[in-house]
Amino acid sequence: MKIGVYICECGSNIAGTVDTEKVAQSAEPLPKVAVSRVYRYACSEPGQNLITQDIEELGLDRVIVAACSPSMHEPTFRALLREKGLNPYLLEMVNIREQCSWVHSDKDQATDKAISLLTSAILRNTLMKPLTPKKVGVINKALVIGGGIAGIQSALDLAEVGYQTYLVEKTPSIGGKMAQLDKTFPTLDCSACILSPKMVDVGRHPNITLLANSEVIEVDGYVGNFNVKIRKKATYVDPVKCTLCDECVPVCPVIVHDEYNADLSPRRAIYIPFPQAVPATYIIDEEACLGIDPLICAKCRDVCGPDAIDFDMKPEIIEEEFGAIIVATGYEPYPIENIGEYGYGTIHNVISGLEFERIISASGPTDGVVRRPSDGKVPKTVVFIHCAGSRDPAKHLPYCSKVCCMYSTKHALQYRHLVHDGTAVNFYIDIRTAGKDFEEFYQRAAEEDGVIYIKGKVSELIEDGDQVLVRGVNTLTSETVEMHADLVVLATGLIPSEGTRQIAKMLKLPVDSTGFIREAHPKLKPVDTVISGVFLAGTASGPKDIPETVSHASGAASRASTILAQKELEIEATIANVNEILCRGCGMCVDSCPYSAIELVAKNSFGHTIKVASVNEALCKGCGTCSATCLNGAINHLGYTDSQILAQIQALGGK
Amino acid sequence: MVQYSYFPGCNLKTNAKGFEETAIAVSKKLNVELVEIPNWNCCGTVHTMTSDNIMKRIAPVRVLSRSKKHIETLEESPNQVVTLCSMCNSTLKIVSKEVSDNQDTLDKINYQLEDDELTYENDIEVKHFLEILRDSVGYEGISKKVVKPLKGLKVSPYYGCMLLHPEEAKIDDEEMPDVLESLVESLGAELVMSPLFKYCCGSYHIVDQENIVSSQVEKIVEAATRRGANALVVACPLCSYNIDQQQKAMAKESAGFKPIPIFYFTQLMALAMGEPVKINHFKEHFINPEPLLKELGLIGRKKTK
Amino acid sequence: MSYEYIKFGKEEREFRQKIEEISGENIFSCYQCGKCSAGCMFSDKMDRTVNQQILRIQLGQKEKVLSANTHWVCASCLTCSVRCPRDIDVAAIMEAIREYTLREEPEKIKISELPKKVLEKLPNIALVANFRKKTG
Ligand SMILES: Cc1cc2nc3c(=O)[nH]c(=O)nc-3n(C[C@H](O)[C@H](O)[C@H](O)COP(=O)(O)OP(=O)(O)OC[C@H]3O[C@@H](n4cnc5c(N)ncnc54)[C@H](O)[C@@H]3O)c2cc1C
Ligand code: SF4
Ligand code: SF4
Ligand code: SF4
Ligand code: SF4
Repeated sequence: MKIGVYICECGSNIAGTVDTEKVAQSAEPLPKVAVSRVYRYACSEPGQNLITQDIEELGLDRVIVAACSPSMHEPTFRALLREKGLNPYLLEMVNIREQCSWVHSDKDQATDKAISLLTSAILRNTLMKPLTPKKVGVINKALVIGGGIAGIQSALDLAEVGYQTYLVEKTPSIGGKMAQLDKTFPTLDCSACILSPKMVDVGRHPNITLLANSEVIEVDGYVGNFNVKIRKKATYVDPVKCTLCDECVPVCPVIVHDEYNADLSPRRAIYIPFPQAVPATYIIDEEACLGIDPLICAKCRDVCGPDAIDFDMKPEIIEEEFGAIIVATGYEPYPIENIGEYGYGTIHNVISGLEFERIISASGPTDGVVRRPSDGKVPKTVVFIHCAGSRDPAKHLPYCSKVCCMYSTKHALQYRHLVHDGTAVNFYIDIRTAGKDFEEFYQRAAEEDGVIYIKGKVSELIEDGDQVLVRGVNTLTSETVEMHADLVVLATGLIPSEGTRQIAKMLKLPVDSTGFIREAHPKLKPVDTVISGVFLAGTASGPKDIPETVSHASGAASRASTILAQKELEIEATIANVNEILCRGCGMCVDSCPYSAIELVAKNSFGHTIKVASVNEALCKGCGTCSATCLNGAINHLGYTDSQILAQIQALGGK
Repeated sequence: MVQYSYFPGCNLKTNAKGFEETAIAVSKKLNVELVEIPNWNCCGTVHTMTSDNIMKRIAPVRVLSRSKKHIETLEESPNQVVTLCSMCNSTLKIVSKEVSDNQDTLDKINYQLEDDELTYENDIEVKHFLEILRDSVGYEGISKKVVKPLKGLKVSPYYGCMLLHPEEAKIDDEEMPDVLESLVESLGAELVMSPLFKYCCGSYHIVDQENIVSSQVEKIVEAATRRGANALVVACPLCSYNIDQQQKAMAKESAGFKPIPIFYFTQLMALAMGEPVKINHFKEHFINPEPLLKELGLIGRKKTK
Repeated sequence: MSYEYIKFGKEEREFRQKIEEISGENIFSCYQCGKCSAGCMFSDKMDRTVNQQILRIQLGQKEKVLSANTHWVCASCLTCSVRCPRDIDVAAIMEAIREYTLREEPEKIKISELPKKVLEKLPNIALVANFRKKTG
């Protein structure tokens, strides 16, 4: 056994606080250490060449690099060992940067600490055994959860590459929020017009299986091999027979709010979500219908010419295996009724941004004439309040919702296009227009369309006759201001959708403090999650506008392809390993494993059937919880055996 | 000798005589002749920034029209009218740009001109004398005529607003000009750069809000002297008046205040080119430059050695 | 004093439009970055900043715009105009406010009341410029 030790200076990142020469010298007398050197940047090509050369010339078989975090460069040095024919698991990284030089200021103490860390690693390294990663096969099929623009884009991209893709959408039609928008910033093109071709493509694509009105109810397995259960709810209308004649609708006696129109208009229990819906079919709203029972009411079935209505339709459970999963479950608007001072829900003419989208839309409840909810009058003064709920860590959302400056500007501009003698006033804290052509859009709204911007947050809205008294401030003139508005639109912030929260829980995906699903790395892995094989698309990971959502979704599809394209995948070798002789079958480890990777299996022992723990190697993430839990010391963590850890502790304590 | 149609403007005949006389003298040395437009009128001094006031635009257009007529009588003359005063320059340049962009305005103004006046066709260019020096004569040509480099004179260029503002009138980059700097250097003087090179002097407020002017001037002079300047060079009779006269008042009030003389750029040229001192009309300056010039040996006995 | 009721009626609109007409500038181009005020070397003598005047014109607050001394302190140096990132001729807006006033009350200064000494001493460039700016 010959160990080579390399201390990296990382420029002055490490050498500035740690006496690297001294650290290197401390390793020389230790057992099995054949060479101990300092280098300026160990990860650089000359740095790696130095190690390679030592391996060749001195016959090293183990390598220790004291440098940065293993999450940065462990793969680099492991590859180097593999290239030289050594077992990559005989590499040890000692973190003397993030855990030492960066967090200390006293050079002597930091040097002592680096020496202890290095010594313990060397002692551990002498006990390490070569490990061989296992290989598992890959199912070349993808699952996309959520059929907003993000899910649509990911599914289309994957299908185009040639992978069988399932797109699961909770509601009766794909399209998500984008299907509800009227026009989109910064180009003002009609949202439905640019979205519907993509929706139609999804419906038609031979590689896409669209499951609308469906939900994922269970996910098992691991990268390359996820087992998924999907419940497809009954629609009670046979989509093949339904001719979209609309005969059934007028006869239905039930009237409920139409969610597509943000509850601003009624619909019946049997309905089509919106004219461009995909799949294009009428469905019966189970909850609204008088009973899905022909004995109670069957008015729709009676008028249905093609006999498409089937009250006996049952929900289906679909079980499928997938190699990769994309979560595209989107956002929902912040519940602005929480902002008491704005009176949403009590003042009729205070509405949300999404409601305004519907009011201004030609396909909306007012046929594209801007009318306010209270009396249907065309409002002459409309106030838009930015950051409604956002940027308010005290009571609401701490973050900026990113799209609302732009959509409020869009709303004000659209309103001015429709009501020429109307006044649109935006109250804002800052105008955030960081996107291609966004600033130009904002400048145009002011310059060409006379949209007025007042810097300052509105404090409260008070109903005053048939108007709303806006009590705000103009911080640029240092004056409190008041004005009357006929309609007030709140630029509602974005929060993770209920579906996003559910799926995060089901897949055990970590979420931010804000509830959005956390990326594996906020900068360098923006579409990966910490669970390999699971990717993020669109607003499920945070507020995004459509261009960003689409690129994110294409990124997720491309990342998923890197898995789907493999025949088999290597899985980490540093996982839990049961010593069946010591195991008593108590099952404590089974409960402790956060990844459900352990189960008790029957085993024959001297003629008796006993139970012992068994680790599913593909599921195990190597977290070590089980080995810490086991009272009998029956579970070892390969790469971190008890003896290795004890050797480390000894070295640290021995100082 | 190239002949230019020259528009003096009111002040060069009254309180900036030194400016005009030195300009005419040095231009001759440089093979340029400034020929005064006969029967010229006031250009209106400040250009109106209103979009709808025709009245205030008649005077400058009339100047252009008369200059055009004048040019026709000159020999070998480019289609250009030359000014020395930066205010006149600015007013004439802006109006000429405006009428070339708007035929309707031009028609209305032409209608107001006298019968004997030429209908202005918007076909002459307005030039500041500094532009002629830079673009037609060249600094090298100027250096060649220097007989007495201005050694010891530490000159800080002060552009004021109107040489550089607005876009239509500027003779140089409005934030990083170098025409005065290059000129000062070509005369052998030491250049002292001040960040307040275009810090407005307070302009016409001198008539009824003198306090505004005095606080501006204080800052302008302080910025230059702190950096070692012992003189300022300008191109505008109003800047010159404001700075010069206020310094005198300030010196009277506070004994600690050290005023510095102010020169028109043409005066520096005349000194360097060995023109007679009297054409500078230094007696009309509030801060007489002669003591400094004597001290530096640029005029007086030593000079005539 | 530090309160304003905002309304967008005929009066407000007419005032804004008149200023736009005189200056030839689009008041709504201004996004209140403040660079005009930042560079104005007379700001210290103004009771309202230049950008605030523009904002108030956007809002049609005629009384407050006219009662400020801002546009009278302005010396038409045009620094604001050459530096405005939205390419607004800010000085022209200051001029428009002056003109708006002068078209109703043509004498901001009464020439006849100026001391003879002043009239004699000052260069004509100062007098002519001043009268052009401060009388209608
Ligand atoms: C008022 C307003 C105006 C806007 N205007 C613009 C604009 O003009 N331009 C622009 O670029 N952006 C605009 N946006 C932003 C735009 O809406 C988003 O960028 C975009 O809709 C995000 O798409 P998505 O697919 O990520 O999410 P979503 O549109 O929310 O789609 C998510 C989909 O997933 C489904 N789903 C959720 N949970 C589950 C589950 N568990 N199982 C199955 N399916 C599930 C949902 O039903 C939904 O269909 C606006 C936003 C608002 C609020
Ligand atoms: S059966 Fe249900 S959906 Fe059909 S008409 Fe009756 S209530 Fe409506
Ligand atoms: S995008 Fe604008 S309105 Fe939305 S939270 Fe951010 S700053 Fe506020
Ligand atoms: S510099 Fe221009 S945009 Fe900025 S505040 Fe002044 S006028 Fe408005
Ligand atoms: S033109 Fe007037 S407002 Fe503009 S910077 Fe000059 S003095 Fe100030």
